[in-house]
Amino acid sequence: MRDFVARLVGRSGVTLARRRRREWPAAHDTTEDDPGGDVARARVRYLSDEDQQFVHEHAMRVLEEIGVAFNTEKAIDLLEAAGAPVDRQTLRAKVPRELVERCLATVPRRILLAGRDPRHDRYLDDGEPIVFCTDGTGTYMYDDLTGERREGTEADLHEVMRLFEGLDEIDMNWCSICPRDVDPVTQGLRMAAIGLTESGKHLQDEVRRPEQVPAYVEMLETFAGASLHERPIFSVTSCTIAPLQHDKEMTEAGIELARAGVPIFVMPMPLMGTTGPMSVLGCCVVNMAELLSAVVLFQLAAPGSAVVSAIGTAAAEMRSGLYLCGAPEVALINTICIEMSHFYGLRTMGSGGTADAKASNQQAGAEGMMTGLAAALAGSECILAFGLLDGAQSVSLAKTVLDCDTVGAIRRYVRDDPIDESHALLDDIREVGIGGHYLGARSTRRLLRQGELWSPRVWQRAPFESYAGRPLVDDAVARAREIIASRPGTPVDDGVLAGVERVIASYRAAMV
Amino acid sequence: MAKARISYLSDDDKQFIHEKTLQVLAEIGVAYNSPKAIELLAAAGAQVDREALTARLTWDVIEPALATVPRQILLAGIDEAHDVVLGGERWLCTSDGLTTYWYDDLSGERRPGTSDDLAVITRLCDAMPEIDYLWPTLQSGEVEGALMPLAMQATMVRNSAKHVQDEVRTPEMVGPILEIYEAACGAALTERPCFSVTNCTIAPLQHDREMTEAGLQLCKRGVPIFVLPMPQVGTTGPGTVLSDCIVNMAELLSGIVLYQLAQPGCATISGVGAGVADLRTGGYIAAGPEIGLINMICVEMSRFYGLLTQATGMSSDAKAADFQSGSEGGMTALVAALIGADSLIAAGGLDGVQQSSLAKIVLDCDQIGALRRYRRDDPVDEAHALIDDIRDVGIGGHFLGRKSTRQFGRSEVWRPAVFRRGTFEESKGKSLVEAAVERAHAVLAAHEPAPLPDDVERHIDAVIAGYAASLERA
Repeated sequence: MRDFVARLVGRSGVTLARRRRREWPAAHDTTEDDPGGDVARARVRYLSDEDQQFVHEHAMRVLEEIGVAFNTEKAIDLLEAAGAPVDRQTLRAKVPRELVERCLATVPRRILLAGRDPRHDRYLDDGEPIVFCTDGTGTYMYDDLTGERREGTEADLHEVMRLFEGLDEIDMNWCSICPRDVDPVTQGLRMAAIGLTESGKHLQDEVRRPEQVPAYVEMLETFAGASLHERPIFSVTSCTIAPLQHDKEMTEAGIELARAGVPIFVMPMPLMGTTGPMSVLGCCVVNMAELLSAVVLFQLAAPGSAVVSAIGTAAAEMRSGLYLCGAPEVALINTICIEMSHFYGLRTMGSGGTADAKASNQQAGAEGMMTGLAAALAGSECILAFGLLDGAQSVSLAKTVLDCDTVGAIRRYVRDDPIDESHALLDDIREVGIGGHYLGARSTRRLLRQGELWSPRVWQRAPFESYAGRPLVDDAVARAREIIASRPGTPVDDGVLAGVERVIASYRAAMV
Repeated sequence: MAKARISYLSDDDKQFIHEKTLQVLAEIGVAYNSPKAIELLAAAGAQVDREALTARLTWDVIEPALATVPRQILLAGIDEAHDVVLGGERWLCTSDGLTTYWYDDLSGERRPGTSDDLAVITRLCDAMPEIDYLWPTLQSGEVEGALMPLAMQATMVRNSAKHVQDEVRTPEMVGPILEIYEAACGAALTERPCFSVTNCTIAPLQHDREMTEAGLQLCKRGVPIFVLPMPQVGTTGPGTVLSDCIVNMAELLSGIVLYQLAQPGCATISGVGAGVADLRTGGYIAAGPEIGLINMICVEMSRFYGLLTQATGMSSDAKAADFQSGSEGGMTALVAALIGADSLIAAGGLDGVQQSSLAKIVLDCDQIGALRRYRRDDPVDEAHALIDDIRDVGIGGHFLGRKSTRQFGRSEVWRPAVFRRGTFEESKGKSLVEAAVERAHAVLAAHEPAPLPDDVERHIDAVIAGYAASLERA
């Protein structure tokens, strides 16, 4: 197994020693000339080295002995050419571990997620801040003030994307609400167009059919003003179907998108007890097998294309079969799958923030913090974090705003903090001594300005009376409305918009 | 077994903090404010100032004291069915306190708490299995100030059979309070320590004379002492999380040393209370990422010294049991759980621990349940990975009908009592808070702690009357 890891590491040019220093359980960069001089960083370690071997070995055996249904001849052709045993009738393949190793070695370690507006460019890489992404895709808009919900509309999507643009805590977007009142033929394209018009941030969505790909690429490159290889302003989630299957059309679309420079976030989603075994650990084995089968496919189709491990595995509510995204088991699944993805040298997108709660209440706060913080502590490079309730069915403006404070708190918490003389403030402690106070100390003011203490934007910390019974949700909605009304972001050139409309119209004409 | 645990400080970091802590104790020292304390420290070789009532401590005084601290501590219940062990297998959770107001979850109004309110909340906490021991959650505001502490202890033992932890502020209260507990549990506290205390130092670097002298008596009577420093970043503590923790650790060790000198081998525990001040208002901030960081550093450093820990948990600055209370309480609690704190101050307070509410306690219990599931040790083996099922179901099947799905359904997936999981329609018409309040009332209606024997009741009344009379004479 060490050879496996060493080969990956060697290919990327990073020595094993330096790589390990960035890995778990503790990564400490020691600065020689500052006593202490370490940076302390909060990280969870869940699986021992032996545990990781266990999961790895069983994921490999699933791939080698059971295999995966790719459901498309295009995939089977690629796998067969690479030496994998295939069955052309069932469109299944068994994936040898040597092939997995070979393909993992070509996945890039540094991945650009470009924004339409380059100020919003983000990278998945060691040393980069966590990239927080809005979640999706909800069916309903939830009215935080009345408690009612209704199906989402195009107008909702415009507002929601405008809100995302205006919230600094959000790094990249999904089109969080699926509008029911747009032309179903061009729905995906229209949603992406709205997402990129209202916000200059990187956009991620699904692309479900291969015949859509040329239109997507043309539209996206119109927005970007460049090839997607150079400016990947869009990425896709490519969901496998548990257990151990790929969706034909989405997979074929993924192959073309990978070739066009679009990063692919592979998202397995086995649910404990239904499409996955009733075991956190077992579901993670299935997750990793499905993930690696997709990594192999997309690397064979487009060697060196950007592939990311996105964790969608979760639990099912056994009475209703509904997806549970806020459960502690989901936090564990995230922890395990992020660790295992890192074991394979892959970048990750963890699931956090979204709640099973039906409103922005204590349950929503608790669930989102648990899963989001668990993903951050596991070292996930990217985390789905904002806006959704009721098992990702409903979008809420209040939740989006409140989630920003959750994310702000998480960012402060996982920040590298120096353990050194300049932060130990022994001189201040001596000067203030016994029974004094630190309010007037210059260091207090300086360190406050430098961000030693985080402040929320909306969460209520002032005295009780100052709120006069005003619920937190009301404040959050008010802030959302204010941002939406301000129309943040850089507008898109009229010529670009016209080009985008032509692409959508051409696509429609071709389909109808 | 796999378990989610955080490791934050490197060995070098711990050594650094240890050295800085020792520097504070050796160069600046601590004000004990008590001649009795100073005599104990002088006898142990510490450099003392008998006029200023301060002492400087060096490692040769501290290290032997740490060596006598027990590594497991019984927190006995009034009823032994509720005995728990700190440092044992179970991760313990307590209710929080001491709040001033009762918050009505349904109206959004609040009013000063009363004995009746304390009785209700205590009975609720007694009934909730997620809560292992209790702080008095809400003060009995209608009771005269000097008598309030005793009245509150009486309310606690009349409404709960679990272990109780509270402050004892003066040496004069020690006798009466311990008499109440020994009467309630029918044994000496040296045998069945059904009561423990928090002993708060005063930042920076001071002890409260009366509370300390009370502590010197309590440690000899078998009462576990949770030393609880509370420097707040930017006001009573210096301006960084790290430096605030150094002051915390210095105050903590000064307390541990004192009580070990007074009673070697007595139960002393590190209570983590360091926090953050709102520098605009000077107010206490109960929750925030810095509290999580402080928890981590102080728990790891306490463990470095071989001490058991009680960390700060779920209380919130939110004004109601809302999104903020879930999120910020969730952060500090998760961190405390993962850093390995032996116990967590959990079910509890709102508005910076100024108010208590039924809904918050019920909802916090669901959060505790979720945390226990997340931090549980889980086997990593074929039986638990259900490898055979994965093979048998293969590609494209499903696991619904599998025996393992039925068998592991209950143990593998945690189920909340109140948190909503069904369809949206099922939850309509009743908010989460309403459901939580309803559950609180249902629990209260079904739960009646066993009454104390009549002679014990009379004894408790006599103790309070006797104390009241002594106050009048004084």
